[in-house]
Amino acid sequence: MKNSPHKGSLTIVGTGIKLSDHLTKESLIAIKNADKVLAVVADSATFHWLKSLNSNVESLQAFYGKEKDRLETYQQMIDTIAESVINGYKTCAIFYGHPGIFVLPSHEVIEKLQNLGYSAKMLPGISADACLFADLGVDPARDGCQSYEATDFLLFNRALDPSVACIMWQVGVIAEFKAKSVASNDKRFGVFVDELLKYYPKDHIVTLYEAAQFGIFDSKIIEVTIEKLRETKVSTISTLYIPPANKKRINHEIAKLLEVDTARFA
Amino acid sequence: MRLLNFLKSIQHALRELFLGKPKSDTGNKLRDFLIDLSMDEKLREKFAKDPEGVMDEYGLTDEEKGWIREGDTESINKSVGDNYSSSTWVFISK
Repeated sequence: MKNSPHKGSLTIVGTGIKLSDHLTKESLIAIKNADKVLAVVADSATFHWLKSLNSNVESLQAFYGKEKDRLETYQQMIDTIAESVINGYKTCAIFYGHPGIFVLPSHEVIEKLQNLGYSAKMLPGISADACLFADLGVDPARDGCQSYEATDFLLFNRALDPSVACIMWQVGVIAEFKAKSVASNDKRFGVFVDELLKYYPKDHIVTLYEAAQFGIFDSKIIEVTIEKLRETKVSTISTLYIPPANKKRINHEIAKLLEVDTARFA
Repeated sequence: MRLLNFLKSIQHALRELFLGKPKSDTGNKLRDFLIDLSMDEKLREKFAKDPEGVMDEYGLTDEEKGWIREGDTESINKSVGDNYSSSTWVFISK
């Protein structure tokens, strides 16, 4: 929507994971040039730093509540961001990480505003998986990469291919729809581990990963066998990386059709 | 729309009355320490050589110094603003 007749507009950006270090240049410009900035970030240090970039920063954090369903929280965020744009403000909404990955309100508010004829767009940010690929030294192009939100994986019969790497998001908040964390000895986490054991051997080594939030720290990387996962501490920001357990196999029929010499993969 | 804005402003005022202002509005040495380290390359170099000296300069408490030494992000986050910890969960299946 490049030629919107409305004065208000929306740009959604992500701060990345690491305080101030991950913000892209285009996101920085969007924050600095906004009339109003609405932020959902991981910590008050980041929020305070954002205030140094634009004094008109407001936090949407207060919409979270420990006994409150997150869908209600997200709807309030959507309404608040949309209201700012409709009231004529050049608005910048900020989310932690990549603003389009594991962020329901960002996509929904863009769709809502575009349907109303407003200019609304998203800029990419650095997500937890981007950090994971760098820190663990894995390339998702090498063996492919499956990526599931842990609760979604469990509830919707998602099948895993053990020859493909897998990223499981939000393993510390399985089946938690409010704002609580789930300990690794919680029975819900046990259900998750049991499900993994249907696909992988119990001694398969996986990685619990937390990207570094502050520049002075390293990312947390804990290698553990699947059977020992229950005894390992997971946090609300833990991501589980499962490397392939089986080798990928060549489809010789397709290779022939594509005239690919399979010897190069030997 | 005016009525809606009026109601929202009342809601905002009530929220602040009962829940208080976000902790980010108050002074916090640990928070300033983290922000400065993220912004100032020279300070990072100084910290790498003499972490204890830099932490002393910022007046961090012994407890805060312990968190920094151990990389205890969870305690740091709780200290610089507990109400922010839930923000990591911004996704839910519909």
